[in-house]
Amino acid sequence: MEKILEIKDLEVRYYSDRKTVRAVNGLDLDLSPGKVLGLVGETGAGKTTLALSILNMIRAPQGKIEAGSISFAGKDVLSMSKHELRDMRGKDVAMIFQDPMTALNPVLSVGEQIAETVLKHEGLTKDQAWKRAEEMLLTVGIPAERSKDYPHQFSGGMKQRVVIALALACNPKLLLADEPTTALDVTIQAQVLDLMRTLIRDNGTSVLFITHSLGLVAENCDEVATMYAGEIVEYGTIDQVFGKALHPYTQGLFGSLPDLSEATKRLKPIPGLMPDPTALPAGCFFEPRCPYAMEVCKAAHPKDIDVGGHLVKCHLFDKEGGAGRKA
Amino acid sequence: MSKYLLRRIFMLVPVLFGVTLIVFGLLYITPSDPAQMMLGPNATPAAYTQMKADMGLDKPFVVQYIRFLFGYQHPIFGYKGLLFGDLGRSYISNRNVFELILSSFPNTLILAAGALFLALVIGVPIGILSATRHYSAWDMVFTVFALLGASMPVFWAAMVLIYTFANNLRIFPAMSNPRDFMSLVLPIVTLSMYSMAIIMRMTRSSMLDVMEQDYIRTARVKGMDEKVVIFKHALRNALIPVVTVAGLQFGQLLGGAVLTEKIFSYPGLGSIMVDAIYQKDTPQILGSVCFIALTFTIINLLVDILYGFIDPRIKSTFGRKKAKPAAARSRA
Ligand SMILES: Nc1ncnc2c1ncn2[C@@H]1O[C@H](COP(=O)(O)OP(=O)(O)OP(=O)(O)O)[C@@H](O)[C@H]1O
Ligand SMILES: [Mg+2]
Repeated sequence: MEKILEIKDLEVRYYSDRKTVRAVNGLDLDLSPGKVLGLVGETGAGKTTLALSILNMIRAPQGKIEAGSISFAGKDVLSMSKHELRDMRGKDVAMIFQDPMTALNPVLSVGEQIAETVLKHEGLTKDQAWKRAEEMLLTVGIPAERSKDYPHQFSGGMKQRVVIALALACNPKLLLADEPTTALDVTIQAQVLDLMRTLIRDNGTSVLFITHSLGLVAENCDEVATMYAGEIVEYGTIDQVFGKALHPYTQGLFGSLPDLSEATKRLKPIPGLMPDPTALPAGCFFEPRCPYAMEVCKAAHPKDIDVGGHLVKCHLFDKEGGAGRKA
Repeated sequence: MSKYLLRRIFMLVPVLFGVTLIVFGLLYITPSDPAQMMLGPNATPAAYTQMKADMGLDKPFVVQYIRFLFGYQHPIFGYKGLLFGDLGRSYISNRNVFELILSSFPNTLILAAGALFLALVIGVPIGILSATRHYSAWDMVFTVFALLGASMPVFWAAMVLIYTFANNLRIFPAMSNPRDFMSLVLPIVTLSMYSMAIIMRMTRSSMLDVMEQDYIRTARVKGMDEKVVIFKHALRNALIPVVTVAGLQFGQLLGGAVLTEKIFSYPGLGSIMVDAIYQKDTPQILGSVCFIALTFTIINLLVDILYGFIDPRIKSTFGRKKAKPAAARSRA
């Protein structure tokens, strides 16, 4: 099947006085139409950077996409003109940001913020655009007459619903949802996710669903990718990864899930910290924290290994390596 | 909205009261002797005592201050008091103090408004340009200009302008009056320099700050043109602090026109105030300063009202009733 999104060898860096943050390092990722891909990884793994790269929104002078290619629906995003990019953003690819509290412009009414996007991309009249804005607000459960209200007049959960309405207003083919519910409390989180799920299913939108939570991935996604220090270390379907996580880091993430059946069992975080993105190790990035680290892990950076369509970046699975030692 | 306004206007009362007290107190302790001045150097001690009593200067501070507010009965030196808009006649010109103020204030207003207009029209666009191209060569050039503008003394700038444009090039006259537009150019430029620099820097830093906000990223992610991002999404937010500064600047321009008016021999309130101070013309000084204080507070009030139009968050605290229940309802 034709991929909607294909990322190859992506390298993104942030430069500041004498320091270089290697935020994304030779990352490969594909997404098929209509699929929801969960992207998990701890803070600083480069998830937001990846999402912004897909929109070619890494801002100079600090940020720069150094290498690689990103193609969306067969078109090379990184060589698009400013004009083409603006047509793509908001129309074909939409993004929901981490923090709904700051994502909306405080001096424009929420209706206006949705309507202007529709106006820009859909070739409608102003009245029609406003009508669409009100419909979108209704779909996310906000009464149409509140379209003239300003962001400060809404609660956090409502704001995030406005943000979702905004992102989906032009029926995007790809939605980049960057921790869309992290800032919300649990009950509202569930509501918002339900809503997103319905809207996405109805429109056949493909989604890159960024989250810290494996639970949310299990509930909402078809596929899952684990990100560590700017690369994808494991990729597979939900069944594959949740059935048998291969990468020690993913296993660690599962180990750190609180087990609800045993009330006394504590959250078990992975010991150690993610490597400093300004000084990444030469070998496997996870090696310093890996319980299975071998000599080769220090020396050579692992490549993707295909285990029946389930990809893993780990020397344990090298053909000549010790796959048998796998726990 | 009207409730908020009433409250704000009510709050002006103690402020203005404080200002009059300070001004009156300062003049009271300044070593000046109006009675002596009125009589000239050859007055007899008896005439001097009589004059002091007539002018009401023999009474204690509190009595004098109450008279200043509520009026003083005397065939020559009497007046109805500040609260009734009458401080009697100037010791020097013998004209009614407030009449003189009201006839010269429009002239000062022309200068101040012209200067603020110029400062905004030039300062805001350059501020935006500096912010959107920050650290570019243009930004550096404008930064230097702003520094010059903010640190150049008014009298010096005025002299340079007069020397260049009036003496050498003979484009604009060196003396200014409100009926001749060409003659207004130099004083307005002089007066606006400082404000222009401040407004430029304020717009720049405010714009830089706003451009880093998440909602600007949202606007870009929506595919908005950069022009729309800057002028619709960023500028309105960035203007909020600029409006405050512009309001304060306007107040200062009204009061600070003193030097400029003197240099260009311009018949404004500033000139009148300076003359009054030189001549120890107490009623005129008191009247002018209180009048400027009142204008200053009114301008601040207007700025606050203007806020409401730019920032919807403030409008709703003016008492748009919809805001509160809406926020409460969504939590449920
Ligand atoms: N504008 C920037 N300038 C410099 N460094 C940056 C910038 N944005 C991100 N980084 C760095 O790039 C790395 C990846 O950041 P990114 O925001 O992509 O992480 P993330 O996975 O989204 O984290 P989180 O889960 O906390 O949102 C981090 O080390 C971060 O400090
Ligand atoms: Mg992030």
